[in-house]
Amino acid sequence: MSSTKETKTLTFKIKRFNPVVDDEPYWDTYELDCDDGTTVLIAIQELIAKQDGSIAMRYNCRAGVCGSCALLVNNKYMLACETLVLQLNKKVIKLEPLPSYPVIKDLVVDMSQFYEKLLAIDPYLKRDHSKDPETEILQIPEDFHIIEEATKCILCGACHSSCVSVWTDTNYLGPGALLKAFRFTNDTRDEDRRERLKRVTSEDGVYRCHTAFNCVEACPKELNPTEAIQTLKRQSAKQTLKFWSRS
Amino acid sequence: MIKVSETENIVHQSQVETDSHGSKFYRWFKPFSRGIGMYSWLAQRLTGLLLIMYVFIHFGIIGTMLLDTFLGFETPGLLYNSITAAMGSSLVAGMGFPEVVESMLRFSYIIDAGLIAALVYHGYNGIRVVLFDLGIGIRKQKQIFWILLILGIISYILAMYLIMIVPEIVLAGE
Amino acid sequence: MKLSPSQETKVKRFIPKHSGSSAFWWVLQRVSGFLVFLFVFFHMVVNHYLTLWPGMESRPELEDGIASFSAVQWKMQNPLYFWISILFVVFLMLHMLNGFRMVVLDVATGHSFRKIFGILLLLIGVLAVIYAFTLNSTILSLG
Ligand code: HEM
Ligand code: HEM
Ligand code: SF4
Ligand code: FES
Repeated sequence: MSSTKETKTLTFKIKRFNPVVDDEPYWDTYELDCDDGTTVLIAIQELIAKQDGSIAMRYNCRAGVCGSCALLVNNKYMLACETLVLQLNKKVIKLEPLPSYPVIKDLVVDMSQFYEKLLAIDPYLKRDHSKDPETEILQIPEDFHIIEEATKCILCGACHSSCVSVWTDTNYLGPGALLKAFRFTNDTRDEDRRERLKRVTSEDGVYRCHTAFNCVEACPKELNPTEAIQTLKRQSAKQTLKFWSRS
Repeated sequence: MIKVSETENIVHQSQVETDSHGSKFYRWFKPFSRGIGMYSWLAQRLTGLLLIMYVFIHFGIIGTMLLDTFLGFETPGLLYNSITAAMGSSLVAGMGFPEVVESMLRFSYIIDAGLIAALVYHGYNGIRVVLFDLGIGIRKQKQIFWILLILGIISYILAMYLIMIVPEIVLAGE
Repeated sequence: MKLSPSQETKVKRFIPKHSGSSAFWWVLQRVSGFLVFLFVFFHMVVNHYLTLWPGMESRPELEDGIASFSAVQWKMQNPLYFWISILFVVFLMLHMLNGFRMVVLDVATGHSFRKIFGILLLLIGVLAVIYAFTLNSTILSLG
């Protein structure tokens, strides 16, 4: 890492929209001095503090773990708190809220549909707790390895926002919820696999996925929701079409 | 003063109507954060729909094989033969082009050129999708796309070469 | 986990009431796609490249062309070819109509519409197969 404090004046174009008063979204342009430690989030905070207090932005952890700051930065999905502005190598930095969610104000979107879909797949371990050991429920590394990547999802909602099927079919569960479904369906400690697979087996479940890989392209954590959905499709098809062994 | 529940309503209504990125399937064509995976799917869809149209036209044309009989003419298949012959005749006949160009510029060849391009793309990309459904190569989807595209182009050139050249050799040899 | 009543109705929307035969059609789309790949290859050989085989160019049936009426009539006399053609139509219809259904279901989410639309497509498919069978057997009977 270079320790030289390089500063550059960059232009920020922010898509503004307040649905209560504005008819149409519009663009505001700001100039800001940035150095090689400035993240997109820091830049927005400075703009709010020094230039325009009316910009709305959501963040919490500032460390890439809470998933509340996902944005469209120069047409790419990114976490504002993890993206260094100088590394974008652009003079003009365009910031937009996540597409396909309703805008609450400026860069803040209403993600309730994403969370509701998440709740629909029961995102918690289901098992007969009466037989649980006194201490934690152990899992061997090989079993954890199956779901390791999926557990890293921070629920930023970028994948859901990028998905071609979500855009047209509002009932489609979407890559975020389905990645979560994969994570619990294939957790060896979970005992509800059959019901879980039933939950995702429908025209608005796994089979609405067209493998366009937009979610993989979008995920700022570089996870692969498509691979998880493909696995669920195969598991679901196996379970559904084995009618002779259906309980 | 507006009650809280009412402001909620106002906000919600306008949110739905003015999602700042346009709505529904127009977004398929808006270029943001896209990779080759998305475009290959879009092309799969467009070629699939084109092929459906072709199949219906195709069924119409092969249906003319029976039309003479239904109309009560003596020679079955004459109508079909004349239609396909007309489609196979040069579009620029007698316009002073060299013979090679004349023979290549036929309605049926031009249709075939487009049809086989769509078919080869759809078929090879279809194989790619089936591979992913079997769990093969999902993390190498971009490389697989380019490999299959190159294979597809080779197959396409071969297919068109055979369609255009081989019957000509046979005819010339007679 | 406890949800509030209003949350619960919203979440319930995403729990499938009709899993229907979605898994079946998904598998069929892959299988039929693969089979259509083979059938189309065969179809192209028969209708464009038949003269690559030695002796074919001198067959009287092919005099008017590889895909002419007499050529088709001659090919249809082989029962294997006849039935391969029918199977081709069956799998092509399954694939192409289900493919069209996938495109339409992307934008049409109503359950009853989906059901009626599916039945309509099934009907079109059956009609197409009947059409092909009638066509093939009539061509054969004219020979
Ligand atoms: C040549 C061999 C073919 C193969 C291997 C093949 C394979 C496939 C596969 C795997 C899909 C699923 C794509 C997805 O889920 O995203 C598909 C979709 C489709 N196919 Fe084919 N196919 C072939 C030929 C055809 C033909 C001849 C037609 C039309 C007459 C056709 C029409 C369609 C349509 C309309 C779709 C739906 C597209 C979409 O949902 O995006 N296919 N094909
Ligand atoms: C471009 C060149 C093509 C030519 C010259 C051609 C020619 C023919 C001919 C002469 C027939 C009459 C019946 C037979 O021989 O089976 C036929 C039937 C048929 N073709 Fe093609 N075809 C072509 C491409 C295609 C393609 C790309 C498809 C599918 C996507 C297709 C699908 C069919 C079907 C489903 C039938 C009906 C078979 C039957 O009635 O039994 N054809 N074609
Ligand atoms: S899979 Fe990636 S893009 Fe989707 S919610 Fe999780 S972290 Fe965000
Ligand atoms: S602020 Fe928590 S992920 Fe960016």
